[in-house]
Amino acid sequence: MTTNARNIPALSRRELLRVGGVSLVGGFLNRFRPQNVRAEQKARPAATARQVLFLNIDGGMSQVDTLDVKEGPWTPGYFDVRSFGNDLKLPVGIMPNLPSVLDKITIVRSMSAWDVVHGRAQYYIQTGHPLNLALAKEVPAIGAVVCHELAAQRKPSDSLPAYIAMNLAGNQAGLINNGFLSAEYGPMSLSIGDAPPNLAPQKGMEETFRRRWERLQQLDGTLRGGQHPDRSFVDYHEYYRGAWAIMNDPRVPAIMTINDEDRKRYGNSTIGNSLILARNLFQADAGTRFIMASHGGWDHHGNIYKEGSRNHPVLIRELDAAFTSFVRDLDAIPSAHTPGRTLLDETLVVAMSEFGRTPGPITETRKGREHYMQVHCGMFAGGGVRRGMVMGKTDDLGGKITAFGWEEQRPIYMEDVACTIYSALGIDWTKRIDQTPSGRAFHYVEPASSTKYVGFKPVEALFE
Amino acid sequence: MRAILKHSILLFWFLGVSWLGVSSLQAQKRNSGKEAFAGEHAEEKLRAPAPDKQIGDLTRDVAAGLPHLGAVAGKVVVRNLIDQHLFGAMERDSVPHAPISNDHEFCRRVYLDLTGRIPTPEQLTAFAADVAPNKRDRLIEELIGSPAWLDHWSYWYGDLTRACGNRFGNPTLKHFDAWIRKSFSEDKPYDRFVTEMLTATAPNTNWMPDAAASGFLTRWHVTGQTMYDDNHEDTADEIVVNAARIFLGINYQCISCHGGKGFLEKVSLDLVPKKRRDFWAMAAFFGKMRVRVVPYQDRYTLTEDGAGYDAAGWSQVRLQREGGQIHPTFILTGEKADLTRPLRPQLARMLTSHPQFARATVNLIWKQFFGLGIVDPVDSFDMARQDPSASLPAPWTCQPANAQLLDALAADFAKHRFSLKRLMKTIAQSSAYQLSARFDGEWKEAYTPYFARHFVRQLTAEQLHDSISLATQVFGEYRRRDWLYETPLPPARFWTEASSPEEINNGEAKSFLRTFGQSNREQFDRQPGGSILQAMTMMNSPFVTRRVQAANRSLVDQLVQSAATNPEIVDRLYLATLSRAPSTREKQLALDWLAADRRQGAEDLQWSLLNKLDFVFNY
Repeated sequence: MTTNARNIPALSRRELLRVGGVSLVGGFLNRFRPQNVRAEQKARPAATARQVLFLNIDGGMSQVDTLDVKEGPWTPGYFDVRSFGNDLKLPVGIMPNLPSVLDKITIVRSMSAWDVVHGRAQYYIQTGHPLNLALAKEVPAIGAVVCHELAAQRKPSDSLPAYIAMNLAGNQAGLINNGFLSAEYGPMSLSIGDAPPNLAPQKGMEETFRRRWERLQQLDGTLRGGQHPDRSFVDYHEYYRGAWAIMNDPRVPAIMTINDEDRKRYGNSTIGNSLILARNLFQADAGTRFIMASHGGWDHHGNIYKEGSRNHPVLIRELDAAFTSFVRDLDAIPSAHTPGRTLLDETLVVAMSEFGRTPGPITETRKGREHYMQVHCGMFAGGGVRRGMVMGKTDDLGGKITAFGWEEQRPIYMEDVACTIYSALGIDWTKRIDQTPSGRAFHYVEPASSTKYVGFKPVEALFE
Repeated sequence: MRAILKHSILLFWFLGVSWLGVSSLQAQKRNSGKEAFAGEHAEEKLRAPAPDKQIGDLTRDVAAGLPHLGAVAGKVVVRNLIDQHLFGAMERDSVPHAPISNDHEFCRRVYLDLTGRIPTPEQLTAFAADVAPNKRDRLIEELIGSPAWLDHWSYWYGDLTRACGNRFGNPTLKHFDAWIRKSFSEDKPYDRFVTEMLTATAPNTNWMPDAAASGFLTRWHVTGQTMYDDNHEDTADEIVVNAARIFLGINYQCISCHGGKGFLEKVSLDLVPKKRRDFWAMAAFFGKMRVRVVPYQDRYTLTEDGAGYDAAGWSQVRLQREGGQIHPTFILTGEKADLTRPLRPQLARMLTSHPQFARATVNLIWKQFFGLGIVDPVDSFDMARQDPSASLPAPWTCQPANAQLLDALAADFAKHRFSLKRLMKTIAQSSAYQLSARFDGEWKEAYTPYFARHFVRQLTAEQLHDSISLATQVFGEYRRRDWLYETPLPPARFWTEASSPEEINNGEAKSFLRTFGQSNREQFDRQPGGSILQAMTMMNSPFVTRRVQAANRSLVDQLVQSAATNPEIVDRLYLATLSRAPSTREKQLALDWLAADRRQGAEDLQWSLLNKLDFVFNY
């Protein structure tokens, strides 16, 4: 983005539509060319974080069985619900570790979604935008915009991609890529199971790999010589060079190692393993600035309370162990950039679902909960977020927000979360890029949603 | 006063933006596209307008690195109407063109395009040895209609329609896929193919395979406030957007939210005066149809008991509409529906009998063979810019790269009962399709619209998967699920044998395919382009490294164990992997490796050939 920004007055979507019928005149308006329009009043990014972990609780976590627990005849005994002040109650039977980090995080109970279909709502989570199929190909993910903005800060030693996505491959929205931004800002998609992915040569094949690489250069020299005039061909070989740089970075094997002690402490699950790697990545400071780690399987339409299988009690225990260990570890690692601060202080952690689940009694037919967009909940930590806060309140059943907990007297939407992420990273969330393939301006965050008119903004109340 | 000031500033700003749009378009036209765009936005690292536009570059780059294989010289034979138009235009404008591809280049290309996988060494050798003058025609006829052709094109059509179990239920996916296969197999006239989809009803999508065509419509079901009800008008909107995208090549997504004026001046001349109401009038053809989800049963009903399209209906996915009942009207002709008769058959008739239906369809198929549509992207048709004799306001020009060709091919398609098989045959048998990717003069971007050479594309994820399996002779033998009974079906060897990306449960192969941009059919088409992870996957994933090991009857294993001499092994690995013979230098290198260690050398050679950049491309 160029920096010759002009402060152009606010133009909401509604106003844009209203003047939309005016015919075109006059070339003299050329000097109004907006490279960087402020859609709202002057934005002041908070710049409190260096990097972001977005924990995508994929499928729709039940808010009334977790951070906004509501008891009723349906509540299983093993929930063991206890009070923690601030009207906060938690089912410590299935979230045994969270109480120990309450003094490090903020719990938010006043979030709303725009959609109840996984694909569309997950698209929202990844991009901060409504899904518009006409534009979907060019809309970048939040992580890609972040990489685009932070590209200038990249060091020569940064071998790892700035944006890494973990276990997003099975996501119903797909993994949202760089859109119209340069391909280098797209996510590297890693699939984390019991073992970390192979970013270094396969064990025992290091020698073989190096020999083959040499042989490949000999064989394919004409197509791989750096002097080749062909742009796109050089591009494809650049991917090979990028791969080679990672595979030969001496830090990578250690980053991609999960030791047994960590594995156990993080809950011995895919999300636990993902967060161990996320911790390693941020600690190593090898170029990665945005990680989206997905925890799948939360779509509990049936047998939500049944122990075993991949039902609610199993998943929440996994999440509880992984999230709390991650937060605690980051807060114990000193910052490499600011003396006296911790890695958590410079890492914004966001954990949330695409929507909530129906409150009240569970369904009679399938003993589960359906999709619900009016209320859901999340956890924020680090990167300047207040420690030990609970934001927002709902009614007796947890189906309606009764206190929003921030200056805007309305729910917190994904657009607000996107503003918050951008702001924390020092990025002006009101930026727009006009020169897109479709010709339609790309706003980092839409000034208003597609279905209701709301001015989105960072949730400043979250921050100290 | 303040308000007036504010509004005039707003107005000014808006006009500025609009003017900018038009002026940059003019600049783009003047400087012929890509360069202007790249120059203008280099600092912002924006991507070029559409990946498709890079095809000229890509081709030049890839083809320049290919070895000379003694392409057939001499004058190109004009074989059908495609050649008449394309070579006629090139002759008229003194545009040089590439020579005809040699047998190996042609053979690899036609197998990839028609069957989604490379040829086997046996198929290649037999074809090269055949001396019959019409052997290319015969091969094309043989491949069209073959089981692999059916797999490849049915899978492609599932991608096109985004046939997805998560959206319309897994049983419907199975039935819909079977119906697509049957339709391709019997070469169902495409107007009927489409009519059956648009007019289908299904009281129960689970148990009525004969209602399988309904999958096209139920796939676009939009939920209401809860996931178990439906938003009737939103569903109709989605159907129209996608039917127009696929069957007419027109993108109505924009005018589904707002009128064209003030928005689409630099996108489509035809859409500028269009209103949302025109879009609603198309959606109203689906007003009496109703798609309902059956809770907990993974199925839908598609019935004819809707109350009409009410533009006052609440929208979940678009800006709110206004107005009331809308009279169904066909957007391209203004023909109004007769309300006393069923609506959808009327729409199907109006749509399939309109010339744009044939035009969009031949363009869509063309793109699969040439890598670049005559109108590109294929869903960007501007109806105001199809007639080459019409005078257009500057800076607009006629949209198709060759409007006469497009119209002639469309007319030919319609005349021959909308036969897709015949269309593919016509395209593949043309000399234009058989031109080499190699172009030995100075290539100019201005030659691109003449299709003066063959364009190069990266293999799709499925083509790559199937070709690696075939080249190494190590197959996944994937277990497939039968959605109806949750029992396994016989294993699949090739991914394109599956009905969808989700049908086969195999983590390793799935992650391979996703890495190479496979569509999940949920929200997106496939995602083209390379990545670091792709390179890493080709070099380091067990999916590839296991397959080149001399073990488990892999091709390398068979060769190393056999009595074959080292030169024979090298030739065979080249033929099996790159579908050609090695050059002298390439052969000597490989022979040195094998001489040092026969087994290791053979493994390394096939690994290197799979990672050779020309393996990853269809040229």
